[in-house]
Amino acid sequence: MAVLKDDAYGHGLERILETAVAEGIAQVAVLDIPTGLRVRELLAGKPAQLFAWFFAPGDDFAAAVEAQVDLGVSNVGVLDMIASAVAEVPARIHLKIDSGLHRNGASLTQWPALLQRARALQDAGTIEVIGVWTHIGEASDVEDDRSKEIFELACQQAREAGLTFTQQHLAASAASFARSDFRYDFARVGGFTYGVAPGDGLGPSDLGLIPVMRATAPVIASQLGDPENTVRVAAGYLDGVPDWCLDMATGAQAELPRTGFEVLIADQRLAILRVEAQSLLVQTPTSNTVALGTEAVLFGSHLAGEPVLQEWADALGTVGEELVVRMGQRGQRTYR
Amino acid sequence: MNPQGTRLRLAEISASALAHNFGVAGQDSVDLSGDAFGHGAVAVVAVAREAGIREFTVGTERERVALHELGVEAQVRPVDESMVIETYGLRANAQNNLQPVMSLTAQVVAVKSIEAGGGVSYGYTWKAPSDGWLALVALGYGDGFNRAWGNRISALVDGAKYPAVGRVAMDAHSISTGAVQLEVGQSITYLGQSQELIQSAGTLADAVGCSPLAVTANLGRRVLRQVIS
Repeated sequence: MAVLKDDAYGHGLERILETAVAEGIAQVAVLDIPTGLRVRELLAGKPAQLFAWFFAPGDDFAAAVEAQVDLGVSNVGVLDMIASAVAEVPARIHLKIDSGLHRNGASLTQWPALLQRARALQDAGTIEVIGVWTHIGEASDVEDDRSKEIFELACQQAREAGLTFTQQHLAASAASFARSDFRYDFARVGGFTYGVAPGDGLGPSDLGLIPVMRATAPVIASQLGDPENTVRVAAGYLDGVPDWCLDMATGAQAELPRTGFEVLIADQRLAILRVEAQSLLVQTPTSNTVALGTEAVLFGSHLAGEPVLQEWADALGTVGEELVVRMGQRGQRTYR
Repeated sequence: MNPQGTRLRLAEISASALAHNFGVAGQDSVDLSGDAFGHGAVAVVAVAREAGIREFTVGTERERVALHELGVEAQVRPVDESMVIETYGLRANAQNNLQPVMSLTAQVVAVKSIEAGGGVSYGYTWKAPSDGWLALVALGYGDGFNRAWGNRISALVDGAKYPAVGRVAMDAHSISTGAVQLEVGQSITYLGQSQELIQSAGTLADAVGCSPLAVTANLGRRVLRQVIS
């Protein structure tokens, strides 16, 4: 299942969906109902399973059910709201167990009541339980194993409650890659779809991923004095370039330049000295002259010898996903 | 576009606060760079014109052309950070007589109890010190809610402060509300006022060492901008 939420991680929903479908992807995670309806419309009759799980007050469940958007449900209240919105076709439901993250999902204590209600609604023909799922941390094997135990238990209880679901799913990118026993019926792949590597030193080349987004900006000024030997590149924090300088490990403010927070100009990796509103101040070697208009690559593909997103993410103590959704909303997008 | 209801992720832009700040700063021009630093250039222009301001600036030629197409003439001039901070009240407090122009709120989408020692979100970077309540709020780093704000900033609810806990996810983050159980649909304040408490973009910026301009300018497209008088 390809995760196309958040405007396809800042890559542009329409083009990514088109490409995914052309590559044979028939399962799409859309996050919310408005995106689900939009994707159903963009698919123009092509069949695909769509999955939404992030609901808000005032959501149009009737439209979601009619458009056959599968709904991930964590509690009885939402299940009842969906059931009461059903007109003809039953709602396609995936019940969610909280396996440790404490964000959403029913706790093991709430689970039996959710199963009981789901069974009653299924017997009444208003819903069809398609799946049981969860979200895991993917930060440590020990914690993930514990989450998997909770998930297995929840699935077993669901079967005992007489629910005959056909889809079990818990893994996202990292676990789907590293843990074959975590894949079940499908994995929900977000970051890896876009070639975004997990970070902490693990880059796209380590996993055979190809970065999908490449960010560039032209050199707009070249200066020899104050500060010496620098150029300005036309991208700044108003364009989504990260300007926070926090060492996530220590919580201390860290100064630039930082290893890995670099751009590529004329085949040279150059350190970013400052992130300003609409430009980056970049250090150049002494006596180096860079022609105005030269393209600076902020991040791109290792296959082209370019710095990759994961290097920026690691240098700034974040994940590549944050940078692509942030910058992807603001830059001018072209596709090739 | 915000088909999930106007209050899910809402940035209210106060026309009166903007006019007030113009007066305090004695300004004769307004910087509209970065879609008026996330406030919405069209809305800010309307308010500025009403306040008698006729001169607008942007930092780049590309932005000048985009505004020209919307019928707004602006001059290209580099962003003056301290001027912008005054205009938009990004460091407004009780002392400086400036008012925050943007208030940012988001709704609770789930509430959850947590037992002492239970971890929250990826990596379990926060563990509950005692039994209590969590609320999941509809702002994540996909909305420009900085991932580094997890465990570093607070949210305002009914005149009380509650910490953002655990890792911020793409579409949501958790706040710890202790013994208080919030309700799904309740609005949580990140910028602006809740009873006696005010939180400015400067406070959020200082928590991670970024510019206050970056805080409002990077709010995502899903955050609805709404002008209030």
